[in-house]
Order: sequence, then C-alpha cells, then structure tokens
Amino acid sequence: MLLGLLVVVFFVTHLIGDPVSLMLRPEATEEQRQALRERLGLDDPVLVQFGRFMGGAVRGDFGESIWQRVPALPIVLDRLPATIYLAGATLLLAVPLAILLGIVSAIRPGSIVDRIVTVVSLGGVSTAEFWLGLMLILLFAVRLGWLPTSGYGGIQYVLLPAFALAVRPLGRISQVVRSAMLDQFSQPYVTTARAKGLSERVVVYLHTLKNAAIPIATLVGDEAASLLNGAVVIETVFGWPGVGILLIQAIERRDLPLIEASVIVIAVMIVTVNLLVDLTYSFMDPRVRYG
Amino acid sequence: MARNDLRPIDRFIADAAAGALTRRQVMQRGAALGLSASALGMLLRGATPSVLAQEAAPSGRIVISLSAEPSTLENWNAYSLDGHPVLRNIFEALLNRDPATNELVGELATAWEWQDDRTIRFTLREGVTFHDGSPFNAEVAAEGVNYTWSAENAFDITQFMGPQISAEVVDEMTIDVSAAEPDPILPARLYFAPLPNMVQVNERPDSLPSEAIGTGPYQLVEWARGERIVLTAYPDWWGNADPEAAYGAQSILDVEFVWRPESTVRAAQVNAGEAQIARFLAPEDCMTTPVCEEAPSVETIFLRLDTMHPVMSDIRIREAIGLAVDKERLVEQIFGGGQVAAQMVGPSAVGYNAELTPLGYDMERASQLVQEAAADGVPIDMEITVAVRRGAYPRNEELGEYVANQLNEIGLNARTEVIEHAAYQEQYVMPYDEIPEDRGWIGTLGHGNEMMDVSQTFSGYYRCDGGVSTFCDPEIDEMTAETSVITGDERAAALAETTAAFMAHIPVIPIVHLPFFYGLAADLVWTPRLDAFMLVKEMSYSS
Repeated sequence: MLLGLLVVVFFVTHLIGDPVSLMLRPEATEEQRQALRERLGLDDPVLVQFGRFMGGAVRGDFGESIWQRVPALPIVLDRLPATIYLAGATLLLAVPLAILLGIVSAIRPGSIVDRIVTVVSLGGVSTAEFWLGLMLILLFAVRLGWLPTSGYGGIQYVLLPAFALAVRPLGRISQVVRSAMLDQFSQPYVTTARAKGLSERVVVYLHTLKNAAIPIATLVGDEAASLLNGAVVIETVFGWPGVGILLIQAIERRDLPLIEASVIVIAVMIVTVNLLVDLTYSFMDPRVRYG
Repeated sequence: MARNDLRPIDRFIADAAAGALTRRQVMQRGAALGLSASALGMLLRGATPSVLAQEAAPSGRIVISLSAEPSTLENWNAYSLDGHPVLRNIFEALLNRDPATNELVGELATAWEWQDDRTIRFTLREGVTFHDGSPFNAEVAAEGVNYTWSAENAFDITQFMGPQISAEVVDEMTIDVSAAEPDPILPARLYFAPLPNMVQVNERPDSLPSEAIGTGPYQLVEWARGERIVLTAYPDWWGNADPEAAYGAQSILDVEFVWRPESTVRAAQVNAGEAQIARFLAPEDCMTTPVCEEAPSVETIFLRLDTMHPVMSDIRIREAIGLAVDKERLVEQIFGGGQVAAQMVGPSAVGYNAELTPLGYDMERASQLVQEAAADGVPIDMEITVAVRRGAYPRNEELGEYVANQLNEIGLNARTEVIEHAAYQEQYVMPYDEIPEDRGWIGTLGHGNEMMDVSQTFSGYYRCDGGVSTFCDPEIDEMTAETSVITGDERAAALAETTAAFMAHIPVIPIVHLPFFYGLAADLVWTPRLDAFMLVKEMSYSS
C-alpha cells in the first residue's frame, strides 16, 4: 500500500507546479530561474526524478527540503512529537467528557439536561476553531494572565490549543455516545439486566456502555486520525510546531521533498491509528477476530 | 568647526544639551548611536558628555515576534525573504545604512572609493573576528563576495544582482569589488549581502543551513526549529570598541526570535508581556499594544494592468481605472495609514519623481472615458479579472473587491478572483510576450525597492523584458538603458524623468507607499528602520 502511495504522492506533487517561481522574487530573470532549476535538479526528465525519488524513499531518504535546505524526513520527524502531544491532550480533554455528556444525555432523553448537552455539542461542532483560539488567547493569556498566549512547551502551553481543538470532537463524540446508548437501551438484554435487579449504574456503565463502545471507538479513531493529520488552523494560531502547519507551508512553497516526506509520515500514522482501533474492536467484542 | 563637521555623536550631544530634542528623540537617536539607557538617562538629567563614555555591560533580554520562521540560516538564501530580521544581527556586510538618514555607511568596510564605473575599492575594518574566532581580512571578504554572488551557485540573493559581481584581493585589508558592466547601484547591492564565514563554507558546508557564524553583534545560541531562535551578545564584537562607527551597541544581552503567523497573536504576546516587539501587525492589532509604531517602508502597493488586453490596451481605459480608485480612502480605511502613491517607489529611492501626482478620484470623468472608448469600438464588455494573491498583505482581498466594484460602476466588466500564492505567482511572472491577450488581469501586489534606487524597479516593471512587466514600449526601454548607468548628480533627475515617461502610459496604478506597523513594549526604545531591518544593536530599554 505504501508503495502505491509513494507513486501517487510523487506524481501528484509534481503536478502542482514549479517551485522555482515561488523561490525567487517576481522580478527575477528567466536565466536566474533556470539556474536555480538546474541546481535543484528540477530540469531533469520526470522519470529520472521519479527513479531518484523511489530509490531514496525506500531508504527513508526523500532528499533535501528545497525550502529549508536540510534532509526532509528528519524535519517531519522532528515535528511529530508536537503533533502527537497536541492530539493526545485534545483527546484526553474531549473523550472522557464527551462520553460522560453522551451518557447523561441518553439516560434522560428529552430532559432539560439532554437539551443542554445537545445544544452544547452542536455548538462545539459548529464553532470556528480560529475564532475560539483567538478568544481563548485574549481571555486567558492577555486579560487574566493565567496561561501563555502561544508557543510550544509544558502543560501550560498545550491547554489552550487542546481546548480549542477539543470542542469539535467533544460535540461529535457526545452525540454518537448518546445515540449508541439509546440504541442499546432498547435491547432486550438491558431490560433483562434491570429485571434481575442490577443497579442502574451497573446496567449503564458495565453492560450498555461496553456494547455501545464500537461506534464510539470508531469515531475516536477517526478524530485521532484527523488530529494527527494536522490541526492546521490551531497550529497556526498558537504557533504550535506540528506536522500540519509544516505540510501547508511545504505546499505553499511547492517544496516537493518535504511534501512527500510529510504525506508519507502522516499516512503511516493514520494506518497505525486505524490498526489500533481495529485491535480494540476484538478487545471490546470477543466475537471480532482477525486472521 | 561647522556643525556638519561634527561627529554624529557630538552633534547629538550638542542638540540634546541645547534642549533641541524631545525626550523620545533623545532616547531613539541615542540608542541608534549605541548609547545605553543609563547613559541616556544621565544625558537627559544634564550630565556631561564624558559620562556617556561609561558604558555598562549588556544586560536583559528581548523577545521579538515575527510573522514567519526563517527557512534557513544561509544568508544568501534566506536573507531576502524571511531571514534578515534574524540574520542581520549575526552577519554583517561591507556597508549598512545610517538608521536616521538611510545613507550608506561603512560596516565591515571603513572606506570605499570608485576606481572606475565598474569597480569600487573597499578598505576593510581591522580587528574584526567571526564568532568562531577566525579573522576577517581581504582574502575572506573577497572569497565571500565571490561565493555569495556566484552565477554557478545561483543562490536566491542573485536576484538582487545586476551585472555579475566579483571581488579580488588588493592587499591584506583592501579588496576591489567589480561589476561586469557599469552598475551605479553596486554599493546598495553590497549593503544587501552580508559576508559569510569562508572557513565554515569551505570546511563544514553541511552546517551552513542551521549554524550561522558571522561577525555581527549577536551570535547564535540555539535554533529550535518551529519554536525559536536564540542569540546572545558576542563579547568580541568590533563595535564594542567603536560604538559610533557601529551605529549601535550591545545594550541588550539575550535575544529570542519567535514566530506567530497571526497578527492578533503577535500583538497579544506584547500585551501579555511575552514579547517586546511584534513585527508587521495589522493596524487594528497594533493599536492595542502599549506603543504602536507606524514606520514608512520601501513597499508600494499598486495595480498592474495587462496592457495587451483589448480593453486595457486603450490608454483612456487605463486612465479611467486610475480615476475610479479612491486612493486616499483606501489609504485611510484599508491600509490604516501611509502615503498615497504616484509612482512605484517612495521618496527614499534615488529617482523618485516629486513632481508626479496621483490620478485623482473622479468617477464621472472615468465613466466618460469608458464611454468614449466604447464609442470608438473598444470592447468594454470583455471581462477584466482583478487578481488578488491570498494573504499577500493585510486586506488585499478587500482591495480587490473594491477595485472590481468601482470598475463595474464606470461601465467595465470586472470580477475579483482570489488566487493561492503558487498559482498567482505563475501568472505574475509570465513574460510579457507570453501573456495571452485575453487574460485581462489587474494584478494587485506590492513592490519593494530594497536598493532604494528606481533602476531596480526598471528591470522588473518598466521594460519589455522585465521579469514582471505587462507593458512594452521600445522608447521606455531605451530610456531605462541609458539612465540606469548614469552616475553622479545627474542620476536622480534622469531616473525621475524616465519614471515620468513610464507613468505617462499608465501601465500601473500606484496606490500607497505602505507603512509597516510594529507593536512595542512600553519601555523599549527603538525606531523602526525604513529597510525593515531589526537590528538589536539599535534597541535598548528605558528602564
């Protein structure tokens, strides 16, 4: 699969145009542009460039970033911890709260609590991250002075961007939890459990939640993949050195080696997350077996 | 002794002692001359000049928030783009500019003299060392010039080169720098090109992108990619022995550069006390900071017209477009300040024509011109695209919308298209003779005249073979070729005349000489420079 991805990535990135037009000032002459093309090896036939790319890629060598002039793969790998850190903090904030809100909402459908949770979750899904990020900075960093405005570092740095990012998965996951729990509540085994005299807490958290977990795990995996893919807007607002902003900058500059390295690294991460989600299925439901 | 014969520092002290300067002027000019905050405080309290000699060691820290991270620390590749705020503190050039007057002054050179119309002889400064301890001399300087401007290397900085530049050693501390053809702005090109450490270039070339070793007042401590660049004062900097010649001093010990793409966040950093300077703010964000400095720049915002288009090839239409744009209103409401432009360079450039006036705002006359052209068969229904590069400068998308609306008001058929950087640039750099006749672009972009000489603009926009020209007139080509090489007192007038001839064809509609906005901490003493350099040696704290 990765081999196919390498082929697609190479040809798609080479379709997006000539990086030299972005590297020089508009006033540069055609001779200056051609000299730069030759220096970067971009004047070679595409098949020669493809052979060079594939030969390097199998060794983990995507060549030098045109923009940063150092090997492309280490640049991406350097950014990986920041992306994983922010994604992890976001999920840590969003998932437990979303499950709790979803359950509370499902226990009493149509109640005031349910309506409030629905409004909050829909509001979260609809909130513009960019606006929310700026508002959080102005309130918590500038006005109250509790947290730094932006930057990368310890827990105090990750709180605001993680909160801004958590709002959307919080809304989506809580709605799916609610729906999955309501679906399970109508199943005969729940009625049986209640008839046997089990406490409501045991019925909800031990039996129903476990059976509702598969769609929840699927969505959490989807959200995790999306966060690892790069939270470009929030990374931009908070100056967070993640993979997402790096990829966007690489695309803006048509930095072909950096785009190729970033896409491959992101793809490997997404495949890993999906694999982990698939493995959790068998843990949550013993009927699911692989192999 | 006449006042002009005094050294700058003596003139400054005399002015301050005579009470001719405000408190703020004393702080700003004094900092630019390299006096520490404590010395300036004493001067303000009436201390004698001898007290000023008692300079304190550098102390404190400054955080400067930029909009973008340098892509590399190789000054020949990053310097012209996002690198110079950092790199110009680490590296030095043969020449710099006086922060107050913008005149070229010696930096690594102490004197220079034209030998003929192609060659300048530079006397180099003695006692200069690189941050790794290696000495600076004629051999290093000449090799550095040749490496930086090499046609074979084709570094990004060569786009600022006219005729090929080369250098050769004359003696231990003297070099000759030559251009392949007469090049009157050769000194300005050299001011824009700091000299590398050739020991590092020759022995450890792989270290160049991430390890900057210059001769400047600050040396690199750390570059945490994606996060920050940290510098500290270089204790053996030559300027410590001669702050007057260095036009600055190491008042501040540690420097940290960070980058936040969002203007609001950069302003918030200053407001929260995390940074002391936020660079290139939107005017509304700048107003929120403790001190908002609006500084003139070498950038001009303008509309570039496709003069080969069947509609815009008619000069009446081009004049109508100019008349339909209310430049004063745009300056006030869109750009938040600046000077209405009548040409593509500001008053700082040699060859600026002070007699040119902008086309006024007259919708009635504009409509009349369009109707006259239509009556003569100009196909005014053909579509014109006001092409806007996304994010090129603050509010350019609003500018595009405004221009298209105004053109529709006067009877033309215009629409706005916001285009991503890469796609825009491909169209923008298309040679004149390859532009499709029906493209019909009105391009909106800025032009920076870093050389502060209008001949730099000639080669881009005035000539048929200009890198970004959408205009072609053999007579203008001839004028630019003749006047670009004129030297001496006649140069400015000749260049200004060429500009007047070019502008008479209305191939561009200049809008504003754009100001840059900087948000500063209340206790920081610094006046932004015209060339947008951010030299920490010109900064100090008032407390």
